[in-house]
Amino acid sequence: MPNLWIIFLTGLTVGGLTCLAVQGGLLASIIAAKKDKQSKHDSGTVYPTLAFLLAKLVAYTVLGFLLGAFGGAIGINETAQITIQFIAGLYMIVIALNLLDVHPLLRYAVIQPPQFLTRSIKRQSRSRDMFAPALLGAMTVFIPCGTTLAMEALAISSASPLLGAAIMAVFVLGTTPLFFGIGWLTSLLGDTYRSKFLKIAALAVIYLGVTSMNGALVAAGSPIALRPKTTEKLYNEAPVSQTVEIRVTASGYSPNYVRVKKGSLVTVKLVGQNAYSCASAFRAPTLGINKNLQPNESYTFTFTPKETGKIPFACSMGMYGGVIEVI
Amino acid sequence: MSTIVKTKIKIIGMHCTACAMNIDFELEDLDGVLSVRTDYAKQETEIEFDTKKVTREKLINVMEKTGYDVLD
Repeated sequence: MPNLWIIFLTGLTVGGLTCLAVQGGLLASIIAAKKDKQSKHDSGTVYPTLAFLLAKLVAYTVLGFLLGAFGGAIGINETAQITIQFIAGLYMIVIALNLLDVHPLLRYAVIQPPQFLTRSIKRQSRSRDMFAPALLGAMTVFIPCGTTLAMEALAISSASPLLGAAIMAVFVLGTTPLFFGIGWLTSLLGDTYRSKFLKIAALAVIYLGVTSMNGALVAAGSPIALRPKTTEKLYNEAPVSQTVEIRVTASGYSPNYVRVKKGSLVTVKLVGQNAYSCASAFRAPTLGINKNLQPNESYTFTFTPKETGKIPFACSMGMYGGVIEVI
Repeated sequence: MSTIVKTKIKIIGMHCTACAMNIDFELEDLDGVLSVRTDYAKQETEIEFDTKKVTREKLINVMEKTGYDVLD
């Protein structure tokens, strides 16, 4: 599972602030338009704010689902999956560095929404229609800020509709609290807090970016990657057997270190046990194994090791992994 | 003589594309402004306006009120 808490934190800090810059204004203007109309029975600001945020959450969740599915469709080809994950990680880092205002050139990485979209959203914000706040909330998917783009990249690289949906939903939930205190909160916090918030968010996004890039390197079997933690001490105690059963759960592989002998056939059985995470996407690049298990599916493959050494395996995002040691 | 002019103004303090949108929205609402295109990456805005109805000073004033500094 990608670090949903980190994503939430990103939403809470920068997402909240940068999204608020324009969306808060739009929301305020639609609330004003409604008040104008219903001077007798004022529905207040709660209904439009809730409708706006709820529709926004739904829209982004659907978007995350689609982005994840898109990533998954490309990810059928392992090289493409790794490439996308690497590029997504790189993009996140660029966005984060731009938040820190490292170099003016980085600004070009942030895609500015075309004017016909921003115009139609502006028109919507002047509408007095009953459903206008909800529609406006849903339309904000078309005006993503830089951080939102970074999250969208992450959703694509997750290569899973459900994970993609979760990533976007958690991010948008993170941005939500700030919308309830638009006026007073931003003025209360002031510029100093604003820049602190941006720094926290930038670090969070850099973390996500590095994790994603490293995951790509692990999945590609690169020697320069930071491997997922394995228990070094147990290496020599791992039993030696030509028949290996590895349980695949939501939190990774167990055992994640096995030993086999050179020269004779090895049978590896992967047993999925509620593997509702990227662990279900098993990759062993050096063996050419690339299998997406269903959460409770089992899969068996065989190979005959010809040389001694370590054969790394990992999930498609490189978050969980292990080693088959040939002795 | 035409009173429609185009001008480019450098802006300081745009944090993201949302800020560019904000500036567009604010300026478009002014009487006499025909078109606005604020570019986040270039940190500048291009405005087409009628000098009979609105002045460059007024445009800058609105941007500063929205919370951005202008390099003029």
